[in-house]
Amino acid sequence: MLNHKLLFLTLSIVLVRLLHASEGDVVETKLEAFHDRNDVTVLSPIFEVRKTIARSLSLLWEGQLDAVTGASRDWGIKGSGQFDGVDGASENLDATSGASRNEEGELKPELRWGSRLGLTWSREGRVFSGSLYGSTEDDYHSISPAISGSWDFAERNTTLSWAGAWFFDRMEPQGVWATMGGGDKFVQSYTLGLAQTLTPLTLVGITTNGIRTTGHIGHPYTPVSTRDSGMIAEALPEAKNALAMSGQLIQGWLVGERLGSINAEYRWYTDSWDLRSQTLTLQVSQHLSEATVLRLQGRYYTQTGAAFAQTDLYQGSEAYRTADIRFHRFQSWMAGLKVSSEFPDAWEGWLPRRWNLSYDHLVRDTPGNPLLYQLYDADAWYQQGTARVGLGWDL
Amino acid sequence: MKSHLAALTLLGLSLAALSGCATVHQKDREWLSDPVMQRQSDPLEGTLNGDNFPRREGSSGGSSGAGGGCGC
Repeated sequence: MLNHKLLFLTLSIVLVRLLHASEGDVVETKLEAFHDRNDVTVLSPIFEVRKTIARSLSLLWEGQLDAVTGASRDWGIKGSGQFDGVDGASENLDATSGASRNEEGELKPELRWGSRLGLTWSREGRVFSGSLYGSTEDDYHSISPAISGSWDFAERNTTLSWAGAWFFDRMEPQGVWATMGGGDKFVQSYTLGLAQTLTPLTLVGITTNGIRTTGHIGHPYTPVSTRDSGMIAEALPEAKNALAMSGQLIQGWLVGERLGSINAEYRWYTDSWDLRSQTLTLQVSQHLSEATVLRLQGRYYTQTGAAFAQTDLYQGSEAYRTADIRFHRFQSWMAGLKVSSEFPDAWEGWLPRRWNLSYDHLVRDTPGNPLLYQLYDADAWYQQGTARVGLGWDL
Repeated sequence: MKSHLAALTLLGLSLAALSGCATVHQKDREWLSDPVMQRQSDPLEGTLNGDNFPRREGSSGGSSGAGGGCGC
């Protein structure tokens, strides 16, 4: 199965390469490799084709594959789930995520395939885009139409942008988990942004994002521990309204003739479950040569828990309860490095034009009752690393 | 929450006021078009960050990504 997907990806790139190309047509690819403290490994190849199909019109085609060779794509322990050998859950399921197949004692990759097709019209500082995205995995399917646009004015010093996306999702738990139900989820996301050029080396912007989620939120794979040592299903509200606002400053400088910049962004999030988060991201980039750029980045993130996310065992009679780590308090730090450059001009034909390498390392804490997390000790440090290599072709 | 909303609203109003000032002429925009001055210079990196990063970190509010997976 995995080989078929990779073959499809490769053939797609070759096919597009054979088509008549215009100036500005590109193929970009990236391979992401993720590994964490629990030996969960994820490989995610992704490609993107941008091709001009008429004056002011361009086509975007993006494809992505996730192959999880451990347990859950979220948090899981390789080779065993939280119910493994405890409640008689199917031996064919990893049990941390029902979609992670464990066949005859051997873990098989969990696959998720996603693709996006988009069309963009652009002329004289005005852009309008429409796209359709779909993804599928063993237990989850999603399809999403989206539109977006932007308008430059004030001699193109100001950009007003907007976007809307609608996700029609369906969860279908497999195996023993199917008895705990699934269902449809509908997500609406609306974004409004304003960016302003202040000087030839200064850009500022703000973005507001509203998200409403209704239907079957969450999943059955993290049941809740109760005081009588039992486990019961998670129960979440059937709707969530979220608001996020962010501010961004990009300040450039010159070292001799080499341009560098700092990109600072602060993001604040709140939702109707009383979960709040703050994110501060700093990126420092510097041209080492005309084509080579070095980027260092750091990120700090903190979130409170949802109002019903207890750090003690549940009674079992609560209206809402969760053991999903995503709805509990924590903080994380991330640091990373990226190098981007170009291959020699003499390279022509099938060889790539651009390359980039990056590595990000994340550390997060796990405060609270370990029985809520089930997979991790309380007050422990969890670490994960993500490496990426990217190649780009001019068609 | 109210203080955050007030601060960001004030920032927005300030930006809106600044939008009337065309401070940088077209001929002076060379540096602004460089990748290091872009809000998002690597689209594939943005896609991977939006799709994969929050679920691996185990966060709810750290990304503008919405839908497109159960995060499990």
